[in-house]
Amino acid sequence: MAILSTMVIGEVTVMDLIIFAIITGISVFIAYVAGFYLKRGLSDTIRKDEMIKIVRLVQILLILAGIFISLPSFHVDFGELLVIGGTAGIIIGFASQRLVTNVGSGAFLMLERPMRIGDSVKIGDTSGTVDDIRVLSTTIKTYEGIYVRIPNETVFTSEITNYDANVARRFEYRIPIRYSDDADHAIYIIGNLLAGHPFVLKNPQPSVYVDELGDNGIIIMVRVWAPSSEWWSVRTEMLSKIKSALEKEGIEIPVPQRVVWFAEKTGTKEKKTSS
Amino acid sequence: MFTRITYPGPYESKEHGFRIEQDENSFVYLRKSGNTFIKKRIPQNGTSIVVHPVEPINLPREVTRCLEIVFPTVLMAPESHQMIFLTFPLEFGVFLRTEMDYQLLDVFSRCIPKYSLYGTPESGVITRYHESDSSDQEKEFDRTRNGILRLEIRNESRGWIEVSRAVFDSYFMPIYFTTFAGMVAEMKIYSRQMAQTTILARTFRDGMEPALPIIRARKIMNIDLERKGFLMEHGVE
Repeated sequence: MAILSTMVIGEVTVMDLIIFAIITGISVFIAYVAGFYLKRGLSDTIRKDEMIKIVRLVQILLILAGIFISLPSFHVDFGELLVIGGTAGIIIGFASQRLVTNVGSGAFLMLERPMRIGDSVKIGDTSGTVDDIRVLSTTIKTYEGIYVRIPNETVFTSEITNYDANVARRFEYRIPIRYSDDADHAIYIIGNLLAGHPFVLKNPQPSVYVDELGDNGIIIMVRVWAPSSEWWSVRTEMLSKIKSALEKEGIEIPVPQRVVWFAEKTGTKEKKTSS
Repeated sequence: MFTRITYPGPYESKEHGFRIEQDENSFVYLRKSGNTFIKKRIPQNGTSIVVHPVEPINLPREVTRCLEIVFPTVLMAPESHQMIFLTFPLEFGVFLRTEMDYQLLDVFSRCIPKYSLYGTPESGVITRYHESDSSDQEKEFDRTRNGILRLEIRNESRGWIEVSRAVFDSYFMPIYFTTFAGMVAEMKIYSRQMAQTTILARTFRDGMEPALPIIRARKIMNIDLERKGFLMEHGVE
């Protein structure tokens, strides 16, 4: 048992180290268990990003409490600790400016909240879904499923486009039809289709109109508002349905056409070709 | 229309188009409607299966917690109140009940769902949209598609107000039923831009039974949601 009272560092004995390890270990274990039960209890009641923040905060507090409880075993003088900690903080701060900048940026991002976990965003050139917002970095899962870690300093100074910040968003189609087709009838068909879809919002109303008399046909503009969470599925679904509905009514998408004139001896003769 | 089925045991509802079949030692819930096919293996420890009206925000999938009812304009004199009857879209919930708890199995409706935006994209909310007639007395309506809502509108402002919409929060939406589903609500108008709506925990008519809520926030959070209601900050017309 003499080994337990052996001095290791200053007045700290092996026994003190064991006590510190046990108390810290118990606090980590309690934090883990508390995190598990918190996740289980909160998963149905609050948003995932808020749940993660609460769980982390509780875990950090529990671990800090464990360390705080175990510190007396090191015979720590808190006055000295503050002085040492302050001096060390300045030295470490100078030595790791980028790190501190990232931490600061992370704190400001958490306060400003330009995005939340699960939002579809574009940060600089990276597009994807926010996977996590940590103290030092933000992780994005791109639409291709690739993990991208962006330092918070870069996130903070980059242009952030959040596609889910607003509850609704608009998308549009430009649908060309032949000059020989009835544009009013096409507008009527498209309008009916949009009215029948649950997630094509009633207000703001979708707008369907002749936008342009193009080279090859009439361009019908379709502008649709949908809930931000649903817009992509609505966009892909409706385009296919519009095409099928127009074709069913004999309205077709025009192929590019050119009128070509050939010069002849006695004048000119019009010859229309299409490709 | 709203039923209670003794369970475990096979059952077929021709009215709602679902059935419960025995599959060896367990039971399976089946429903086919258009392109939708639901098949769920259900535990045998239930005591009954019930079909109740539920908060009408679940179909085709839940994207909001707000129900918006738009009705023909009602002109309200300053500091006046008026009772009107509206309809709301009806969604049927199929629940497996045990002695201690209940679990939602399926939701279906005969209404075609439609969604809208109340307010602006930045600060507004997505709503389940429903157009209703309004009248000052109960009228016949299609009970398989709609429920009936008695709404008391109180104009607490000192100006004339035109009201043509009401938005309700489904986190507190007690629905009662007998052979039809009914709700009671009130709307306090503070200005043209602001009003507060609340669904009240009162039966539409004596002898009605409370429906099982899908959203159990009031059970979990213990907050007085009835008093909280929904604040309409983007106008009432």
